[in-house]
Amino acid sequence: MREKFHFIRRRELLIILAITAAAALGIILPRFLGSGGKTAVIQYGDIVCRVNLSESGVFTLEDCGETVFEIADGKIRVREAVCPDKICEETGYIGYAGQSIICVPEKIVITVESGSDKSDTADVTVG
Amino acid sequence: MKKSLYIAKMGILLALASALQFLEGLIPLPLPLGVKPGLSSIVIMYILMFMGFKSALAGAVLKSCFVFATRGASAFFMSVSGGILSVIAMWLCLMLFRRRNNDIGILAVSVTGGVFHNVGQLMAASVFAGSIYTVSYLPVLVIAGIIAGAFTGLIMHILLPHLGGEAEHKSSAERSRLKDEEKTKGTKA
Repeated sequence: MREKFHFIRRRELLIILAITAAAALGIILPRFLGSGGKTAVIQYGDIVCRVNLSESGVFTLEDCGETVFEIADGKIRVREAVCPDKICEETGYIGYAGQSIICVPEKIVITVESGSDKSDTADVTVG
Repeated sequence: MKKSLYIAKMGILLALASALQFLEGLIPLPLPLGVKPGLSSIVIMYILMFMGFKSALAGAVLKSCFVFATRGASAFFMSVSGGILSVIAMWLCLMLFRRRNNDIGILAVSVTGGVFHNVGQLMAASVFAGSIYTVSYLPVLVIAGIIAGAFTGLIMHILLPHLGGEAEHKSSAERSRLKDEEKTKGTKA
């Protein structure tokens, strides 16, 4: 049979819509189910440190170079990034458990943790 | 296809892909995570559909070399892993259509490519960052891939009737089949 081309058929559209719906659920559900996280884990290569999200402020970490972080209203963001892409800056604030900010050039990963009992284990106090 | 013709065609297509990639970088888009529509993937999809799997794989890798020259090593690894995975995924999708009834759904192929391009990039990012938490980006990137794939698929659908004559449009698989038919005719006569 000769090779033909079509734009889209009903069945393909349904599959694509189903995947879109699943992905949309993946975005929306954590916001409804997951409560705001209490601590954030900042991972920089092998170095891991925890910060308490209830203490607002602007800070840098000694081992993380020039990157400036900011915590406000229980959310954390990268205020100033050193890398040229600035993708981590554009991500903005994160505060729901499981959300994360990733900076590939600087190898920094920030993840919000849900664990409420971990709030007293914060390694870094924001000043 | 003659070797010289093949080399010339691949050269032109790769130049086109690189130019599109560069052009895309010039236009700032207000999208999070550095999401881009991926115009150069139209060229890769064309190579895959009409010049075969190996050519498309080579095209994706060579396009990433252009990224290496302009944007550095980490961008190269993200680009190459996304490119290779998307070519493999689009090829599997294309084969599925060819197996069934040779009626190829352009949008389905390009959306598959878009989604797996982002999945590949995310995999590279996880390796770079040394963290599995990058998975939290997956839903956003899947949707971004679907939208970008729909966009490139639409362009492909519009361009397809204008890309050369009928002979140009025969896929490599069909061309070999036509050759076989000619051969069998020859033996019968």
